[in-house]
Formats: sequence, C-alpha cells, structure tokens
Amino acid sequence: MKHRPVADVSALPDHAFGYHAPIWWGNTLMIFIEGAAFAILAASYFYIRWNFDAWPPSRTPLPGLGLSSINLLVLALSAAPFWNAARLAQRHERPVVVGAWLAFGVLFGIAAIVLRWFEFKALHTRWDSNAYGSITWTILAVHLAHLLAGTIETMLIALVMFVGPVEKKHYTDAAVMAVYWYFIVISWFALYLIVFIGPRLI
Amino acid sequence: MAHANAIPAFDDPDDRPGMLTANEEDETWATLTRTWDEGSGLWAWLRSTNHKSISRRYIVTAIVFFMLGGIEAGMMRVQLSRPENSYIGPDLYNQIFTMHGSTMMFLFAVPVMEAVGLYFVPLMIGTRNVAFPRLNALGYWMYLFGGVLLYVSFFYNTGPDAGWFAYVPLAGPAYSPGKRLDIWAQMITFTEIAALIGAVEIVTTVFKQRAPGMSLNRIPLFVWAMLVSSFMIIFALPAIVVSSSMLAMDRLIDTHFFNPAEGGDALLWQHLFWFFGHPEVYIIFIPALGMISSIIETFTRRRIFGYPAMVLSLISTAFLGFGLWVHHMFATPLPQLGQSFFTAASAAIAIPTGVQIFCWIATIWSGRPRFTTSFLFVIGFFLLFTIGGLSGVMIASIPFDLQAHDTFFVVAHLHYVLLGGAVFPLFAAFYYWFPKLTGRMLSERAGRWNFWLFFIGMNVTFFPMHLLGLHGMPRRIYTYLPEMGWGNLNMISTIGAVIIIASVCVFLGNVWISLRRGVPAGDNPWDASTLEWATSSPPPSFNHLFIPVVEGRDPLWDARDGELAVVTGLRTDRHEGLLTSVMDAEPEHRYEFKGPTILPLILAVFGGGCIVLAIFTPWGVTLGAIAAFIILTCWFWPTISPDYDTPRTR
Amino acid sequence: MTVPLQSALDPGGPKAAAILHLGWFLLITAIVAYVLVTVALLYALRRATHRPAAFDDSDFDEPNRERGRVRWVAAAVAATGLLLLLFIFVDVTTARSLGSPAVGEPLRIDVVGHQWWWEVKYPDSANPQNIVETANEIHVPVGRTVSIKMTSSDVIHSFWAPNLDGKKDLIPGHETRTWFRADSAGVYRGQCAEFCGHEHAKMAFFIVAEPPTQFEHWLESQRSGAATPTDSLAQQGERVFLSGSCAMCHAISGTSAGSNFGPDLTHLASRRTIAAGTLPNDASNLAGWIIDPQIIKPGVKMPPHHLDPGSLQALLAYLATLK
Repeated sequence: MKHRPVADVSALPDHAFGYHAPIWWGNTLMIFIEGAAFAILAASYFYIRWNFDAWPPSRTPLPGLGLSSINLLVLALSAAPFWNAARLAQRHERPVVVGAWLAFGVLFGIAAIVLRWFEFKALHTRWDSNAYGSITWTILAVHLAHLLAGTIETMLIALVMFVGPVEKKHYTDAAVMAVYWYFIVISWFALYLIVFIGPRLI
Repeated sequence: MAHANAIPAFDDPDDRPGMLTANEEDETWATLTRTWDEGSGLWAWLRSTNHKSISRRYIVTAIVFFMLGGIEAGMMRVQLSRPENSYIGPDLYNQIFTMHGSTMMFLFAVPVMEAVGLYFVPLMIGTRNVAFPRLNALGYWMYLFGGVLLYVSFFYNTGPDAGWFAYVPLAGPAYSPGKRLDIWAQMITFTEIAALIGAVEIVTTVFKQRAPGMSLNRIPLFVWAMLVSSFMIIFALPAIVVSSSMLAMDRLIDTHFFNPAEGGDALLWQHLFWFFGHPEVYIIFIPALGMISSIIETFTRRRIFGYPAMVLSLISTAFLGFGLWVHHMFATPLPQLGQSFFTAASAAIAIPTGVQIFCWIATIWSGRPRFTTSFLFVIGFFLLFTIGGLSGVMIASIPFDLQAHDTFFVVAHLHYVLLGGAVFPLFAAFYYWFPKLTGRMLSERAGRWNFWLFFIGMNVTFFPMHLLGLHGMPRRIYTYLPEMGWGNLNMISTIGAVIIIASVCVFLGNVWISLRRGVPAGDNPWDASTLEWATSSPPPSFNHLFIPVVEGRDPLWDARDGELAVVTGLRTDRHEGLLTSVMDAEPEHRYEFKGPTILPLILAVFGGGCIVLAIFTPWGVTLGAIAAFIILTCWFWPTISPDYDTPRTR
Repeated sequence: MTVPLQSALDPGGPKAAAILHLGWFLLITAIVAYVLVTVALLYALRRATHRPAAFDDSDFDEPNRERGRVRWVAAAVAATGLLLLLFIFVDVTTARSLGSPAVGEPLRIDVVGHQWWWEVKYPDSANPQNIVETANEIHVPVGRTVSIKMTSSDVIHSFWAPNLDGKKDLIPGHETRTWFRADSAGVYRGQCAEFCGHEHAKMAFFIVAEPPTQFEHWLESQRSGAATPTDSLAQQGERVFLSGSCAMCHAISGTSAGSNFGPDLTHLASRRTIAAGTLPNDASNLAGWIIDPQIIKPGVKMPPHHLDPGSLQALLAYLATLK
C-alpha cells in the first residue's frame, strides 16, 4: 500500500474539553451505567411497594424529613464550587485556584457523607427488617458509594492541582469531575423524592 | 472545537509534500516499532496494554471456556442418552447444567464477541489503540479471575447448581445453603465489570478515534454492530449487577428482596434477571450480524446492499431487545394483557432481523460469491439461525409457549439461535480474520470438514429436541423413565454431540497446524475493502504506519490505484494517536495512549481478592473499596511527559 | 391400564387441542417462511456464481437494478410484517378461547408445590371438614371444568400435564390459577416443569380422568378416615408407623399422625405410584423406598429407615390397608 499524505496534524492541541475528550465519554458512559442501576433500584422500590398494604409497612414510621432535607440542600449547593472549578479549569486558570474550588467542593461532600449517616437512621428501619428496609437502605448505600467515590476522587484531583506536576489534560479531568458530581447531585434529587417523599404520597 | 485551520490541508497540489519516500516510511516504521514495543517475556506480557495482545488473550481464554462448556454439554448428553442412566447423579448434573449455561453465556459468548471487537474495531477505524488501554487490561484480568473463581469452585464440588439464571427462592439462603450461589453471584461481579469495561472502550474509541473522513455513515457495519452491542451492554448489565447484588445481600446480610414472608418477591428476581437476560442474547447476536456483513461483502465482492437500512435494523433490534423480557415469564401469574404486549414485541423484532437477511440475500444476488470456508459458515448461519428465529416466533405466542416453555423445545430454539446465529458467524469470522491475526491462512480443506461436521452435528443434536419438548420432556432433568419414550431421540441427540466434538477437534487441529505451517497470508489475502486489511498480517503493534483518511465506506476498494490517503505529523516517539469529531471525523486533537503497566493486574488481583472475600463476609466490599482507592491513586497519579504544555504551577 | 404418555401432541382436552391447532398453524407458516428464504438464498448463490468472471463493479451502482432490488427487499419486509400480523391475530384468538372456561360449576382443587411432591386438596366450601387431602394423583370427572388454585411452600415449581393444557408456575408468596377439562377418560401424566432443586426430574403427577360416577365414588372414599386395621400384622404395622419417625412427617386421618410436612398417607394404597410418580406403588417398591429413599431419589427429604424385616413386613401390611 502506498501512502499519500494529505494533511499534517502536528499543530493540533494535545487536550480538549467536554465531549471532545475521551475521558468525558468514559465518565458519561459510567453515568449511563450507574444511572441505569439507579433506575433499576427505583423500579424495584415501586415493585416492592405493592407487596405491602401500607407503605412504610405498618409499625414503621415515615422516614424523617429534617436532616435529609438539609442534606438535599447541602448537595444542591455543592454543585456551585464544582461548577466554578470546571469553569476556571476550562480557562486554564492557575492550578492552585482550581484546586481550591475543588477542595471547597470536597467539604460539601464530606458534610453530605456525615449527614448520610443520619439519613440511614431517619429511615427508622433496618436493611434486614423487611423488603422496605432492604430497598431503602440499598438505595441510600449505593448513592453513598457514589458520594464517597466522588469526594475522594475530587480530593485527589485537588491534590494534584496543589502538588503538581500539572498538565493541561488535568484541567479536563477537573472539568469532568464536575460532571460526575452533577450526576451525584441530580441522582440524589430523584432518589430523595422516592425514598423520603414517596411514602408520603403513595 | 474544529481545528480545520490548524491543519495544512494540502488542497493545492503544489503544496503537497508528495509521496513519502521509502526511506521516510522505513524510518517511521522503525521508530514506531521502538516506541510501541512492550518488551518480551512474562513480565512484559503481564504489563501489556496493547489492545491486540489483550484481545488475543480474551479470544484464547474464551475458546478454552467454550471447550469446557462443551465438555459439560457432552457429559449431559451422555447422561441423557439413555433412560435411568447412572453416569451422573442429580447433584453433579445440576452443577453441570448450571456451569454449562454460565460458562457459555458469561465466559464465552459475550467475552469472545467483545474481544473480536476490541481487536478489529481500532484497526477498522484506523487508530492505534483503544481509548483507555489500562482499563482494557483490567477488563481481561477481571474476566479471567471470574472464570477461574467459577471453575475452582466447581472442581471443589462447590459449583453453583441453581441454573445459569439462578431463580429465587431456590437460589436464596433457605434453599441453597453453603457458598455455591454466593460464588455464582460474585462470578457475575467479575464478568459484568469486564463486559462493561469492554463496552465503554468500544463506544469511546468509535466515537473519538476514527480516521479523518470516516463519518458515522461510513463506518463498517461490523463497527456499527459493536457500537450498538456496547450500548446494549451499558444499559442491560446494570440489571444483573443490581439483582446479583440483591441475591448476595439476601444470602449474606439477611436482606429480604426475594423473601415473600417479608414483602420480597420471587418475581422481582425474574424481572430484573430477564431485563438483563434478554438483551444479553442480542448483545451476543448483534456483533455476529456485523461479522456476517463484513464477510458477505468480501466474499461476494459487493458493497452491502442497503447500508442505511442495515444500520437502522441494528439499532431497532437493540431497542426492541429491551422490550421482550417478559416472554421468559409467560407461565407466571402476570396479567394477561401485559403479557400480550410482549408477544407483539417479540414478533416485531423479527422485522429488523428480516431486513438484514433480505439485504444480505440482495447483496449475494448481485455479487459474485466465493465459497471459502468462511462463506460456508455464513451460509450455515442463514440455514440454522432462520430455524431458530422461526421457532422463536412460535414461542412468542403465549398459548404455544405454555406448552413449550421449560422443555427441550426451548433448548432446541436457543441452540439454533445461539449456535446458528452466533457461533457459526464466529467460526466464519475465525476463518476470515485468522490470516490477519496470525499472518497465516487456515487450511480450507480442514475447514470444509470443520464446517460440514459442525453443520450436520448441530442438526442431529438439536433438531430432535423440538420433538422431545412437545412430547413432554422438561428441561434440567437428570434422568427420565424408560416408559416416557424419549430414549431414542435422546440417543440420536447424543450422537450429534459427538459429531460436534469431532468438528471442534478438526478446528483446533487446523489452528494448531496452520499456526506452524499455514500459507503466509500477506496484507490482504481476500482483497477485502476495510482498513484492517491495509496493514500487515499480523498488524504491527501500532496498527497502521500512518493514520488513513477515508472518503467512502470501502476504503481499500476506493483506493484502487494502490494509494491510501494518510495524515502525517503525529509523534512517533510517544504513543500518540489522533482524535476526531464524533459525527464527521474531522481531526480535533492529539492524544497519548497509556503504555504498559502492571497496575491493572494489581488492581484485578487485590480488587478481585476482595470480591472473593465478599463471598464470605460483607467486609470484602469495604476492603475492596479501600484497595481500589489505593491502587487507582497510583494509576491516575500524573507522570509528567516533557514537552507537553505545563501551565504555571503555584 | 396402558402406560400414560405425557405429550402436547396428544390432546385429551380442549385447551391442549386448541394449542395443538395453533401449533400446526405456526409450524406450517414457519415452514413456508423458511422455504421461501432458503430458496431465495440458494437461488441467489447459484445464480450469482455463474456471473461472468470479468465482473464489472460498476454493475452495482446501476440505478435501475438497485431500484429493483430495493423493491424486492421492501416487498419481503412487507410480507414479513403481514405474516406477523396474521400470527398475532391467530395468537390472540387462541389465547382468548383458552382464557375462559366453559359454563358450569367447576370442580375446585388446591395444589401446593413442595420439593419434590404435589400436595393436592379438594376443598368443600359447603362442608369444610369434607376436605380431601392427597398427593401426586389428581382424580377429575371427565367433561367437567376443573379450576386449580396453586401456590408453593418452598421454591418455584410448574404444573404441567401437556395432554391437557400448558403449564402454570407455582410461586411462593403468589397464588396462581388455571383451569382445564379432560374430555376423554384416561390417565394423564404431568411433571414439574420449573427447575426446583435436586429431584426436579422426579416430581411427576397423574391426572386420572374418570366418568363422573366413578369420580364421585373415589372422592367419597377419600373423604373417610383411614380404616382401622383388623389383622394383627397390620395392627403391628400401625404401631410401627405411629411410634416410629413416620408420624413426624406424614398424616393419616383417624390416627394421631397429623403432620403435613410430607404427603398425606391416609389413602396411600389407592394411589398408582409412589415418590411423585417415580415408582409403581407395590410392596417391593414401597419397601425399598422406606428402607432408603435416598437410593431412589437422592436428596429427597425423607431419611432412611433401617427397620428389621418383621417390622417392615408389618408396616407394609398396614400401609396396604390404607385404600
């Protein structure tokens, strides 16, 4: 096979943001996978609901709204530092600044994780009490796993930003981290509605 | 961010640098070889992140599992060949049919299809590696360890024994004591991770790394098939991730997902499992459809008829495939009206499949077929899969299914569609692509023996089962009484199995001898049209010397003057590739593929160890998370590459 | 009586008959479709192989030929669609006819699935004490609709007597209902059709369809408690039964044995088979079963009983009185 050059690509940049970057796709596909898993859990929740006459089952109190609503607020607000970090990253702002905003986001994450502990308690049931307990604990636990993974990942990226060496592609990582965080927040909105508000409606 | 302005496009012929000299090409070849060399020996092999090495391992491992699954099938056939046979008792028999199904579905069919995709998709789209090379390696190790887990437990007489579908409550803590089903559930964990990894690789690679000019309407149908199948994996696998985890939790930490006494439901398992399980068979089948397209095009020397219809058929098959799952549950007390919807959907999916078959026939009609072994297997596919597809429409009917469900009629159906619809295309693909993979041709003469033995054996084994099922023989029974009258047909079926085994032996012999003494293949022995044939056989580690530029669906037929348009300018001293836009494949930026590293193996070992621990204690999950965290930190920690732009620090 | 077959191709009732008719329609349609596709394929292969060797690629893109091919493919797809619509129509019609039983008061039966036997009850809504409890053998009157309510006590099973009807699953925590009617007298064999563990292969049952008067006679005799044994060997056997471990799992109405863990044995001697259809019910098989059921049905929940020959003979004599 003979080769006929028709273009030279050496001047192309070596990183990109958004859907131009493979890591964005890896992250997005991960979100599809985990989103599908949440959807299956939600479907299971409603399926199980119709095996009970009362929901929550009789003698189980309604899940507490106090701390869980506070946590919802915490997560909603947490989107802001991530959004800002992503914006600054795309502008190739100094790494320390990007790292600082990410670290700020980490604080929200830690707060959410701590509050999650109380949310489990607010369910007023155990995972081994009955199917209601099993599904609600599982939903909270799976989301907690995402919270933990997201918080720790953000910590690491922030650490890289502070300590270096930082390449331009690490800015892409920071921006993609924000997208993952939005998923964590948005999925929690849906799951909060199902687990905490749901029993009051259905 | 299109960078059309950044690339000197050489539109003006006077600007072009002209053809590359032989010296320049040789130098590029030498530098690339050096850069992409992974070394030799065991250490290098363990650290490999080259998609071709990893795919070869996948394929070899999958073939080993295929043979193990075949041995299990052989044992079942021996046991069933006569009424009241005492070759195998019930406990071992139940483990064997569970192992057979689990091996073929989880350890052979999906991995081998993904592996063939992971090998050929990068070559066909003109890139150098998959998007996430280390992740790809991790996928293989997880797959291997999952299979090893299953088989070690089987050899210790702790193999799962509740069927590959593990219905509860039988698979639950009350009726399956011990660790058998926990092992099954964690084997699923390993193989689901591997499958999901493969899917993410393929989608990302196909979207971002295609050769310039290879817009989405110019990618080979095999690449479309792998893309569609990968999306199916992404949306279907989570269902079994969730359900197998629920099963593991019911067994290990006393949750009640499937315990009717506490509000759980045995049917919940069935919904979740089949929501995964039905798409699973299309995940296996759709790549085979892609292989058929490649092979028919080459061996009829005719561009596939109706490319847009073929693509839409693949996509609609995928969507419809998610809407059929209840047809596995027709005998359960679900509402009749709801069930009827699934009859209609199960019938409807015959339409896109029909479109594909008719377009292929149209292609053959207007082409000029060459009856290579590969093409024979394709013809075998048509003849066998159609039987399976039609028996499938029969059991889409609820009344008919209520007689045929859980009998050997379904065993016949599923083997016609899986062997006819997936394994025959796979063998066709082996004969087609073996020259590219190894640089040698397989023997056509042995290939014919392979084909005919398999074709005859398959029919002798499975056709009688249609009748056995309607004559009342249920599935998953280790023996039957002489007065049932099933003995003769079962004996015939067992003879067929022997013929199939002979066929596989011929195949293995063919591979063994051809590896050593096969005719050297050259770059493009079949005069095919797609890019994998533009490079040497086997391909060099970097795939193509230069990234090609394409203007149509059949680059090598379009480039009839023996000249392939290429881009230059990628670094050869780094693992550098070109990324292009999703829709139109316009060059966008350069990308560095990660090189060899031992970290994927380490993560698989420690993470896998914790998954095995989770068979015994839930703390395995916690420990696994910690291990993963530590190893992934090392994985992602930046290693600076000099010459890349670094912003001001601090 | 001739050996009963277990086949969907030999209907003994209206549901199986309707399904068989549907099956023939499906089969013929499938064969026609298969022949058409195969002939088209083989013809395409044969015809195309005889193209001239010097074959011009531009032939493909000839617009008229292309249009012709598009029309053929479109026609084939349309034909497929029409055939599928026909299929759905026939399917829905058949399903409707199977849904509602004929008029008349059905005979109601309850079936509970166990690992690896069938608990069968004939409740009497008018007189609850009249309930008949038996195992693995279902007698029904010919020509009368039988309505079955089913559930499982452990894992999922499936009730399938192909000569009479399709199958229906027995699922713990759920109640499933089905109906059938036997239009000709005979013994119809059925078998569990959902994998339920070790001895799924040996979980059969028999539906004995008999003329209505014979059926009523049978039902009446099943309602009575066990006859008190009169000869001394049988009396000794009764003592062996009640004082040994048998009474811990098996009930015999009229005696102190009342456990329903295993099959009710009140009328054991009236049944054709033992061990859920595994062996004919005669003394030597029963002896082997009692001594060590694990040899006949490994994994079954009944333990071995190594009785001395005297006790065994007595027990067998007693069991033979349980008609």
